[in-house]
Amino acid sequence: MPFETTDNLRPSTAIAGDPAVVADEQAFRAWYDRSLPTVYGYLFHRCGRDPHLAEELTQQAFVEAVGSYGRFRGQADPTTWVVGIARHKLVDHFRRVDREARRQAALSARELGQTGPALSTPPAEPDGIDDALALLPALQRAVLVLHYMDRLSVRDVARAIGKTEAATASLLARGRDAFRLAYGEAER
Amino acid sequence: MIDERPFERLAAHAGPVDVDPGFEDRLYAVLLEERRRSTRSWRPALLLVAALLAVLTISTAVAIGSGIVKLPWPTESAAPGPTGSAVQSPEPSVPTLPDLGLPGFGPAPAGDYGFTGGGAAMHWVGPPGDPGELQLSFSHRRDCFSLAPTSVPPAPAPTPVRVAGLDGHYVEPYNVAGVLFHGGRLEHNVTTGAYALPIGDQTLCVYLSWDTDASAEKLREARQIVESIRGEPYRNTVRIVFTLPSGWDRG
Repeated sequence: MPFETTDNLRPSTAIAGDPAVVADEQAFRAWYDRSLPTVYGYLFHRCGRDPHLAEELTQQAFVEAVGSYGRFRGQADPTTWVVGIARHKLVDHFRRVDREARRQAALSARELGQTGPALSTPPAEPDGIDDALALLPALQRAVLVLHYMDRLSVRDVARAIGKTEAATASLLARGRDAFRLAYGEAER
Repeated sequence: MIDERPFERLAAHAGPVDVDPGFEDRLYAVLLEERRRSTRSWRPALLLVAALLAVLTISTAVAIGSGIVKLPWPTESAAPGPTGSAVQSPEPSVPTLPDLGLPGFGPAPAGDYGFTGGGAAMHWVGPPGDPGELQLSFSHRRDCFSLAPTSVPPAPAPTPVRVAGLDGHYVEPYNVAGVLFHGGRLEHNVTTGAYALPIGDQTLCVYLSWDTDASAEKLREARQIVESIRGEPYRNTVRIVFTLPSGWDRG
């Protein structure tokens, strides 16, 4: 199935907010067929083109969408709505990775008798956007993805990741520096 | 001058991608099942009404049959006949608790949730920067303390405990790989407390795990969930209902 960017989303008035999308199997299948490539494509390009991770997050987003369809008020196209849920899943994923990294760093520091965070060694010879992103800490990756790829304002990014605007702006600044450096290395 | 080209490329970072047809089919099957479950979610209220009606009908019948309640119309004198059987037919088992489901994969709103039979696990994951995670696992087992415990630290003997109006037993720490976070991996900073709670002739096992970083308030909140459990035997297993604060999920 071809990928459809979020910019290409067009409201489908035939099914927007219509409970038949879930109640009627034909409408449900049509909604699924239309939404799946968009949601999967959205996640695939934001999680380092890892198909397994993209599939896992896609499944989580769709399962939540179906389970909570009763709360969908038709204020947006149903596909856009699932993409919104997918974005939450993506942010949750970045937060989980960040938490795990901190925990590992703390454990490593304890084992080594150090107090500072453990240093991670970037993979050799990165190339392209994905590899540059992969070198960044998870939360920096999250803010860059949300700000540049999803075109969210700093305020909206802050709301999505649950931080203050000032902390998000600082995270974005550090992320930009790190990304520019990593991307420059990748391009070299 | 700051080079913005990397960010322009990042913003335009997209392209065609194919969805694996196998995944497409698998997910569709999962969603059909989820859809069936979610369109059924209005049923608990109906079941509750039906259960109340059934209880009312049975109570009335028993009251009339035992002579506690006399009907207003005249009754004929009973003709002599065979005496009733000494063996009473068992009353039908009518569930009184609603058949509620667990929270979804994202943080759920506060409210009543539940499950019937089998096992289930839920988590509370804190905001970014807060490492204090908690997990609650329910299972229906014959012996809640028969899982192979990890060696650190060794589990003490069960002590009597009264929780949710039930007289059960509790062990802490009960660090068992199968009930810890992240797919059962043993983590050094996680503690688990295990409850064995009798529900009729069945036993409900509750395993509460928490990061040592979890706040005392969150842990108290989790214990309050255990305290809110209402349960009943149901078809050789148990049905329970409990009240969750917001933010717990099954992810």
